[in-house]
Amino acid sequence: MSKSISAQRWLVESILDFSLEKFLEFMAWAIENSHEKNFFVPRLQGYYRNVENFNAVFVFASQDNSIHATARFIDGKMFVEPEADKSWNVKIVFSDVNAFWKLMLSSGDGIVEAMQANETQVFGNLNYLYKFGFLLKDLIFERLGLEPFDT
Amino acid sequence: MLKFALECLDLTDDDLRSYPEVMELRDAYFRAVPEMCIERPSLITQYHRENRLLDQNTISILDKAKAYRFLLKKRKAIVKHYVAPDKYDPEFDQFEFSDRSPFAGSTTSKFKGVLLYPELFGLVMWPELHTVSKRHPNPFVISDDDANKLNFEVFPHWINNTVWEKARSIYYENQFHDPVTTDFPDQMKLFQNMVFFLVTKSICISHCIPSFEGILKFGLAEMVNKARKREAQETEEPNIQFHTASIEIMTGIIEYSKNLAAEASRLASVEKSSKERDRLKEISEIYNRVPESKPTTLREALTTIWICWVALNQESPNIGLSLGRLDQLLYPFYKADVDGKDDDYIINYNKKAVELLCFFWLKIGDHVPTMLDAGEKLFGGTGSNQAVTIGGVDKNENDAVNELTYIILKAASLLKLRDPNLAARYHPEKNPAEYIRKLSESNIVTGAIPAIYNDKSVIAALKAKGDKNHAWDYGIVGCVEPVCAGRTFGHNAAIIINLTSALELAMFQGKHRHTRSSQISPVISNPSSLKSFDEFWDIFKKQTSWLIDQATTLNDQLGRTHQNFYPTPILSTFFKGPSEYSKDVTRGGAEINFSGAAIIGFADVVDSLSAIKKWVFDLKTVSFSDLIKAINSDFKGWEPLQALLRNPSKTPKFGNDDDFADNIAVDLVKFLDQQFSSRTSYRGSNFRVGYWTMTFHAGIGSFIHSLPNGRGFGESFASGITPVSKVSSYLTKTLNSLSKLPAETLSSGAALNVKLLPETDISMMSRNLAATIDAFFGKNSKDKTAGLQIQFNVVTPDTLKAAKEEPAKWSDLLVRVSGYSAYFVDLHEPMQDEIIKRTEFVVSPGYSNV
Repeated sequence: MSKSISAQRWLVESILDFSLEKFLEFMAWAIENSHEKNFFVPRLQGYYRNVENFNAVFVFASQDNSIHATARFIDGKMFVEPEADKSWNVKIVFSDVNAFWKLMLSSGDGIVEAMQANETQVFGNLNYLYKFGFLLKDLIFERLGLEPFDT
Repeated sequence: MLKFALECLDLTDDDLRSYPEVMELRDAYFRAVPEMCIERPSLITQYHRENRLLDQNTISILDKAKAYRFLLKKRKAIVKHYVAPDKYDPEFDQFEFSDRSPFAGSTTSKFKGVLLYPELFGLVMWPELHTVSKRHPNPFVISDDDANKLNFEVFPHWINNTVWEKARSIYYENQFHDPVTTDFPDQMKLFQNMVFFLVTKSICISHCIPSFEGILKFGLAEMVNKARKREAQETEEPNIQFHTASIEIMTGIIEYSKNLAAEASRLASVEKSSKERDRLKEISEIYNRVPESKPTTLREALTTIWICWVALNQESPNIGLSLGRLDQLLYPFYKADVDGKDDDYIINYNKKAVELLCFFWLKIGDHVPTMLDAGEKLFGGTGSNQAVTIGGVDKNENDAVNELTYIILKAASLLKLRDPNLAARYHPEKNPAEYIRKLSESNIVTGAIPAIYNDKSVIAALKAKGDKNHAWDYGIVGCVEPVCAGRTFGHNAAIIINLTSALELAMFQGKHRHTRSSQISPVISNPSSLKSFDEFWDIFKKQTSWLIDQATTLNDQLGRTHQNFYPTPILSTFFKGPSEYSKDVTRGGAEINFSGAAIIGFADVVDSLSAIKKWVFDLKTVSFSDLIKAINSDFKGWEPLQALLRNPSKTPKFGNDDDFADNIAVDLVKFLDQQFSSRTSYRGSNFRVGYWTMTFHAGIGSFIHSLPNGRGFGESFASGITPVSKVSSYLTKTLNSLSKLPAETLSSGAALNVKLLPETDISMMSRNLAATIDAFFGKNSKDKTAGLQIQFNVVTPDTLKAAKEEPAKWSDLLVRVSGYSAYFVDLHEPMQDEIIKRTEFVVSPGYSNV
């Protein structure tokens, strides 16, 4: 991804076109570009520390098949694949794409609430999802300064 | 002397202004925002990492004990607090206050702390670390530094090692492959839907009453000697390990106490005020003495219990860990303090004892449970539900009410705190009339405390379950659950079942409208094809039984995970049984064992069954398919039917003294008792059933569809065993219905909420309320049926509405939820509305608020 596009704009675009893959790619870019001071998003620096020594596979899917992606964390790097892998540490199945965004961008933990609302099914190790929840919220609210959608 | 104590302990004669140091601390307590404390998770993680415990296939009780000793020894010794985050400041800046408590030490490093247990439930806070300080309601303050420590240094080490994850990886899906395909969702998936049941062992194992008899009688040094003798007698390695672990724990507690003594001494050495210097020296002397040695005064006894309480809280999240019969435990120390003294001394002493108990109360409430944002919507506003029990009868079933009973009641009435949750035992034929009058008066003065338990019924219920020798010595755990204090490891809150889900599975052939098309349980029969209510009742029972199977299976799996990865040496040290059997309580070491289940939605299910029986099967005026259409459309287009189903004069309701519905209620409690009694848990014991719902009835009710009793989508269920609101405007009818339920089927407790309109003449209202309770509890009646428990909200709807509108003005408005007390303004909106809508009864004949 070109660094000339602002991170905020990319994020907003990905939300507007509801692209999970683009959103995950943005996250991978943020990790990769957080080792030193970033001109566009100064607070991004140090974000990579969250995934140091973190190895895990997250699969995202939806019941209507509109969502399918794999996020792979290997040795401090994040790789995004457009299809849902068959091997994972945690697999999150959303009822639809709206459920995905609700989970990603709510202010609270979101995860338990989404399960309770029957909008999300989680297979595998829930703790990985809590970790992913922190990664997202750290990026979106703390470093990019966006407001939670439900506040 | 008791009469004398009564005279000088009038509940209406003075207020907290008579105790200015208590008042200042109480004000600070209400002003402080809870802070997340990272001390415990950091030290526990450090020990587990340094000793590679997380690489082991199991963690022994001795390893756990060493971890807790390390924690107790390394904890910061806090003698008094100075600052706390100010809830009235937009940035939660700190405010200063004077802490003059005679009790040093605290469960966290904060004035009002949130204890975190990464081994259990702590990781749910991970996504919220940056937002929890800003959430509304009930924020937790955490600094960026502390959040970073949890994110980088604590949580990652537990990602594969929480009790839930250990159980999942052992019993369910393995990592790196698709979930095993089964006909129905597995028990963990059912749990995650949150509409079927909750199983709490992934969160805590603390729902019980430890025993303090040993430590009050011997002190820890003597208990260590006894443990060493037992250790030397044992030959089997696990048994030896148990006693070695217990010694580690007791030594750790002594070390913690000595650290506090040293810190108090250090503070005294630099203190300029002579009064404060003396206070600190006194603390230092006491903490050097107890709990190592046995206490000799009331203050030393309370200090002993407090230090052990702090230790117990380091082991398992405090969800209903309860203190037992404090007035009985502490009475010998009170007696020793006042024996031979004159009246003036005793008057002054009693006042100081009230102050001491007030400080103790504030200490017990120094922490709040970990609560995630979504949890706030289900059980928001809950404290730790630490019950204290007073009153009742002694071993010979004689009156056991004493001076301390009234001193504790007075302290609780003055403070009006949600924690501890005061439970008063009352035997209508053995306890004095003045006592029930005082309990009534306290409820009127405080609006909510204490809850009152009928000794006749509760003791009979426990005896029927086999607790023959110690039923007289029951104490209340958590909300309303009676157990033999210090002897019973019941974990009464192990399972919480949403009974309306069983009804749903019966009506929709194994499906639930909340989980839409998923086939949850087996298809038994299409209810539309049934000819009689008995056939439907049979389907309902089968679906209920299936649901209970799922919940008890998951409870067992989590229980076994606790045995292997989360043994409980601290709790086992303070329990009757483990030291005799050399066995941890999680392995059945307690003298009495069972597991408990609580039922949500009882009255709504009874009324729904009643409606189905009358209209669909008996009178056949409503077809089953029409009833299904009506509830599927949330009664839109079916308003006349909804009105008919809601009308207690047309559709029989539980709580209206109507045998048609009440008989269904009786059949249902008998069936549930039989179902749970017939199942054996991982500890080799049976299950018992209780009817208390915390705030679940409102939280879960908020997303459950309409029911055949006319309840609309999202409306709260009735709480505990309380009838649905507005089914009767006569308190007598409600109490008559409740009296029909056999006490032995409610052996894990029942919460009956009764909302009363306050009256201007407190004395008259107290007398009439006492008479009402006597009648409900079957005073001088040979009839076997009588009420089990009753609790009150004495408050006007206008007050509640005003508090909802302007919460800042009503931060200490105490209400009864379902079992425990809570601050009304901390509750989530559905729960607030449920309390506002409860039926308002009038106690005194002819009295009206109009």
